Amino acid sequence: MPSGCSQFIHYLWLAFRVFLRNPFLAALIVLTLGIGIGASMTLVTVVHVMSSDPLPSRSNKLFFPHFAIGPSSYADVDPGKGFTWPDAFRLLRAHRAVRQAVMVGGRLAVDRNGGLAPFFEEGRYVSSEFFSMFGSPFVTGRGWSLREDNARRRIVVLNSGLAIKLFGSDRAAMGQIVQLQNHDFRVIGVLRDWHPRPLFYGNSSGAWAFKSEDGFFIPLTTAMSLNLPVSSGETCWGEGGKTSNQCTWLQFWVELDTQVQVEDYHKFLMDYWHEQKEHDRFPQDMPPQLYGLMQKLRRLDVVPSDIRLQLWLAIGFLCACLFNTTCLMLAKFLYRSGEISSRRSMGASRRDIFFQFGIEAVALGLTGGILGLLLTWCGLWLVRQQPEIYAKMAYLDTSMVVATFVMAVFASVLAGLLPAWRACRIPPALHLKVF
Amino acid sequence: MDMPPSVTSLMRHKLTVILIMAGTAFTCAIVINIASIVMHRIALVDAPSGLQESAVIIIDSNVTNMSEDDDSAVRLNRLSQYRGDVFKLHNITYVESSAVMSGLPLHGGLGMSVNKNSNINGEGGLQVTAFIGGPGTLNTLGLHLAQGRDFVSSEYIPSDGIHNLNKVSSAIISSALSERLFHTKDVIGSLIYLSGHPVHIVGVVNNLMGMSPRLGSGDNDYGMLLPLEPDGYHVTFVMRAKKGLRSYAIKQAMNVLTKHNSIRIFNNAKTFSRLREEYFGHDKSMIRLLLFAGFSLLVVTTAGVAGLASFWVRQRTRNIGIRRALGATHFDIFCYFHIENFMIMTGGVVVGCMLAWLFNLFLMKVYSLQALSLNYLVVGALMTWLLGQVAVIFPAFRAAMVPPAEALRFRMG
Repeated sequence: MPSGCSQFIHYLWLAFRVFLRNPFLAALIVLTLGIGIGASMTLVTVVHVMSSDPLPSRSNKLFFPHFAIGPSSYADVDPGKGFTWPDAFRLLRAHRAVRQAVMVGGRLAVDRNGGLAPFFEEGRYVSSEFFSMFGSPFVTGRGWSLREDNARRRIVVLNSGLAIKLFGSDRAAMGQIVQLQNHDFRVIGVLRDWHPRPLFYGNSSGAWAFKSEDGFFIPLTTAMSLNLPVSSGETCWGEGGKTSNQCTWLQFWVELDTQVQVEDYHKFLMDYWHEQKEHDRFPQDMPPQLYGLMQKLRRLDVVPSDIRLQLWLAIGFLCACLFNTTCLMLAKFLYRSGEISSRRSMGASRRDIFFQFGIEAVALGLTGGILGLLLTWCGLWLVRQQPEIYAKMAYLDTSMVVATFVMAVFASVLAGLLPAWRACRIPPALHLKVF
Repeated sequence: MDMPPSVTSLMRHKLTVILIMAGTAFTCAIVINIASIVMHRIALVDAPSGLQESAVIIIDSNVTNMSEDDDSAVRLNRLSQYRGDVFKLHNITYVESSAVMSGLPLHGGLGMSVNKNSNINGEGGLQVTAFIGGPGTLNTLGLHLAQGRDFVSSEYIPSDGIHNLNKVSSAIISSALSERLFHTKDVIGSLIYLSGHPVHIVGVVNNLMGMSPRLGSGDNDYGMLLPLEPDGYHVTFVMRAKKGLRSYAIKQAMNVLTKHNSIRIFNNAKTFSRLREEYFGHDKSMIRLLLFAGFSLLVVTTAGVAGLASFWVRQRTRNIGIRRALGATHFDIFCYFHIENFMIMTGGVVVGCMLAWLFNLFLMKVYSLQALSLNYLVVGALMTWLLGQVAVIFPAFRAAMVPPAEALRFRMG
């Protein structure tokens, strides 16, 4: 409606003229709003970043079977995140999902012939379908096949960082020999700097999942044949050792493309559970679950409590700033009660006055939002300087910028409601007085 | 000062009063909780480790050709290697004393269950961190013996991985642990049970921090030293460097160790102070964040209260003019506003303290936070009052400057 639009612009222009007349209170309001929004959006961005999807293109197809394998006394210790060797390989060989892979972490001494002093690097022992299932991008070379898995070949896929550290460039690493824990491995592929954050396929949770980076990948079968050390933590309730039924230490992921496949696989897991229970295994009464990737992150990998504390702090801070903005807006609006009552006596309705001050609040909100965005940007810079695990990831993205402005306008409108209502209740002047 | 009229005038401006009280109460509640969290974190970060942190340096040693079948001959070989390394390190000019350990405070160790009686299940036992160290450990770390003695050389046995843990006969514990276990000072010679195995206490040190001190956990200072010589794959060489010469000592020690050992990887060569800084890095940045947030909040609230008070003064210029015309002095007006502000602040503080208590209960349930002690409420209340008065100084001053003639002028704001 053209008249409404021009009225809106008229009020906006009026609002800015008012700011110029009394810049002090306007500046104070913008400052308060800006600080409140800047501080809370900084913290909200950090939480947003920590809850982000590590593999957005594939996360809806990746699933995590969750069994409670150990005895009942281990219910707290082993939250079902690990598989035993026999269970993992039975599920792997059954091949009932589109793709499936077994994996576990290891920290090995890395060396190459000549020059470099040996150092430790974290990596993963995986089965052949790992790379195709997670879509790891290769710069050069390839993963390995099931046949090479079974043959326990001494082959390795390097991540870009480790390849560059050892051989100077990604491509130069192809075909070279690397010593892992004093055994020779040949490089058959190099990944394009692939570090999903959080490292959802590992055994770490919370903040540590953001710090972990895998430098190399070797076949799990090869690692076991060479007795290489495992660093993901194992839970054992007997003396049987890693290949027995009494130690959980492996992670198992599957790819399922359609809902029908998901249901089928869940049924397959239930059948397997019942079958094993008949052999007196799986004493706990918890049936198997099949979690999607984001579901697993939310339920099993906890966001550190300090981050959540910061979120509550942000909300509290924003509320306090809102209160103060309301106070200041009240002062600002009622300051002009003379102007209001004369406008009312000249025919303006209460709605007009309410609308006028509502627009003023929005104008203040937008200005406060700009300041808030600037402060958020500075705040995130400060966060990146901290020795925090998530520091490297603290950046503004489009959704957060939009959220900042939305929050600014929403906050200023909320803060301005009470003052605007109070302002429109000022009665019209009964007779004009001499000023 | 006339109380009743100021109360009635407050009643007439209900909205303003409520807003100021609400803003103050909310800020008060948040700032009190922030202060409590910050103080507890500072206590965690500043807790003494027991070590002579200005002098201790560490270097980790890692064997690279590990295998599952680690027989006793291989272990004995490693044991003598480590002994040789400790001897070589001891002879470095910048090093006063050296020892080999398998884990030390903030850097690994063994989690064990300790009991006063021979409860084989280890249930109801205290969670402590056991540190295994060869001869010279106590001296090198600079731990202060409050009672008893260090281990004698005959008490040390090879650790054989962790298999010889139940052949150990003596232990040195921290005084916090001894207080917790026995509630008395005289514990030398008493028996404690490590997972069912009896061990004599031969010494008590002032402090010995565990391997992973955390906020809100009572067992941060429950450390224990055992006389076992490490022979595993991963050990840490600890040294006490001469005063001010830590970095030289680290360089020399690395040279000495790497010269004769090509199959081991040596890393984490740093001072204990640096190790401690890295460990508590997150807690320190949380402290900074919370302090910054609390301070900003106070600034914002003070500005808000000042702004509103300033406006409110202008709104009542006529009243003030009348008072002045009736004989009130500048000082009377000034005090009047301060007292009025004080009453509003009192309301805000009372509500704020109750809110602070509620917030704290909520935070305690959702996070492992500690309960709010009365001190914080008192200090928070005082600070809020103070800030409220500071916020109103300028407006009250302006009010006091209003001349009596204002009473005669009609103003509409």
